Amino acid sequence: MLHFKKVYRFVSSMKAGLILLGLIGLVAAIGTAIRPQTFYHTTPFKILLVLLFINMGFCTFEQIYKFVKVLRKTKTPNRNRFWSKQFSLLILHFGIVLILIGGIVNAYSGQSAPVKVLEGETIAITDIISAKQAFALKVNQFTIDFYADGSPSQYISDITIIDEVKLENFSVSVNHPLNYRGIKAYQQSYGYMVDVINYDGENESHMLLDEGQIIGFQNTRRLVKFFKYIPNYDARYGMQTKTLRPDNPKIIYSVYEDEQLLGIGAADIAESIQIDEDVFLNFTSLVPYTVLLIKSDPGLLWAGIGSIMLMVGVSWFWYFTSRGKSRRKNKINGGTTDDIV
Amino acid sequence: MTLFNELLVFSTLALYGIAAVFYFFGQSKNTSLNQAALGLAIVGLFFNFLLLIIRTAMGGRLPLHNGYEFVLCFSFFTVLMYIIYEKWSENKSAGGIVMLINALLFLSIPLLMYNQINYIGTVMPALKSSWLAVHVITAIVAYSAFALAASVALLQLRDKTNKNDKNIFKIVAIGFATLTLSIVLGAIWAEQAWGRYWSWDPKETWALITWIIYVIYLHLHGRKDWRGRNANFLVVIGFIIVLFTFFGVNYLLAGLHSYA
Ligand code: HEM
Repeated sequence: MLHFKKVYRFVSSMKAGLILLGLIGLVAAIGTAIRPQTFYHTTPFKILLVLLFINMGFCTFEQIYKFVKVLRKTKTPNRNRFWSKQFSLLILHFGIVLILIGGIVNAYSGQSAPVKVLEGETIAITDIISAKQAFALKVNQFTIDFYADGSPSQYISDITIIDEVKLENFSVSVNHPLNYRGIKAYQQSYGYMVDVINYDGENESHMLLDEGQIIGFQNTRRLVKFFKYIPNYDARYGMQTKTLRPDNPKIIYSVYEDEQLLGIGAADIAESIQIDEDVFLNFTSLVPYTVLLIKSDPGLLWAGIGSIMLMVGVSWFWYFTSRGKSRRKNKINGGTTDDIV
Repeated sequence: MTLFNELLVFSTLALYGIAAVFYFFGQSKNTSLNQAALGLAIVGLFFNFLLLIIRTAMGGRLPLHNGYEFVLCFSFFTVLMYIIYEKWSENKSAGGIVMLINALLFLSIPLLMYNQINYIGTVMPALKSSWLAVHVITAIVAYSAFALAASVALLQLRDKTNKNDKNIFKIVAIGFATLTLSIVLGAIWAEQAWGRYWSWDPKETWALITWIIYVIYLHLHGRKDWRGRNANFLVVIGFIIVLFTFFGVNYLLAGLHSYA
């Protein structure tokens, strides 16, 4: 029993907490130098974070316990002072514990996945993440707003949420995610597919091609690859677009025969290109798609409340440390360094 | 305007530099040299302010978007805080170190970001957020407070005293509170912009390490075996890590934040 108490004391101690924090800092620093992203998802690193959570959880519990106990005992004069420092620290530590809980909840039950949706297409949320909320999302239009110099100022997906019989329109853009019944959607990326018509002699067929996709024909062995869409083509920039604004849109394609590259071309939209005798191809139009990140994070609420507590606690803490002039106090106790606040 | 901007940058740098020299020779006594140093610092601060105003007018937005603008804000707040500190504590001894650090900081403009002085780029969509604005402002105020605290601490280490421990603590408390706000606000912004509030990118990670150093300081500074030397040492280390987060991460490690 005595043993248990000793262990508990250490586990919930400030000393253990600070050692853990120091270790986390050190290991995290090493992590920035090697393999940054995966490093922080390795088990040893996660264990450190969980240990910190356990330590701070117990430590905060102790603080609350003492806080309530002293609050019951003390009468008025002490009470004010007690409220100020101790309470701000309590809120601050408790906030961190909640943030850590939020992180753990997210690690266990949070989901997020990107989804590519063409203009006009509808997707069901449950096809992307497993969720109770069974609504569908239709992308009506994807647009890019530009500054005067042609650089992008905003990426916007106009969407409709179809929830049972109800329809509701939203606009999702960078920094303005959709939050619908606990599911969030972020504007993450975008791209273009191209609509192609090919006619070889008698047949005419339609196809939707993605970047890098290859199309074949009946009357020729030649193949055509939709290599890239360049919104503002300028020969001086080579295969890079000059700006993202479609001032001079070109479709870069390459032609192959028996695995041999025959040539590369830059076609206008809706321009007819001859691939072989009697074989023609036409990139008739671009079909934009948006990439939305669909996310559900049940831990976000905990982390959010924790963040607010941390911010309130730390501001409050600062307020109580900054009261009073240091000069006068210094004179009184002769410049000693006893604990302030 | 172009030339005027550059002249203003070099004048500010010169004023800060000379102020540092005067403070050093003034030896923290109430000499006219010290008076002159304070005067130069105030004029430098005014020039610095002008540069920020010009930047705001040129861009039509707050000057919080690239390395050059960060340094302008960083030195502005550092000098402002130092002047307030000098008046409040009636102690001029840290003037030399603060103004030296500040002048070196400012020197990074002609050395590392000369091309940004007259260049205003557009703001990419992810950076258009009021969360980001408060995130950057609080980070800069925190860094300035840590610069000041580290200067006073460095002086104490040299003089082997601890009579300003209380002041250091108060300055660190400002820095710590604003750094905490900055990290949380940054996380809120990241959650809005990228869908993740924490992704362990190098800048984030180093901000957390800075924060941890000051957490350790705040818990230990009052203890018998930590007050004075060890505590001062932590404050100085903390600021070195701030500098690394500020410059090192941008130039050595890549990540979400390295758009500057
Ligand atoms: C990791 C586990 C932690 C433990 C076990 C712990 C424990 C404690 C304890 C027992 C105190 C009271 C100390 C005293 O009155 O001398 C305290 C104070 C404090 N804690 Fe923590 N803490 C931890 C983490 C943190 C963290 C991460 C922060 C950052 C926000 C923090 C911020 C503070 C502050 C600002 C004080 C007041 C210091 C002062 O009054 O000088 N603590 N902590």
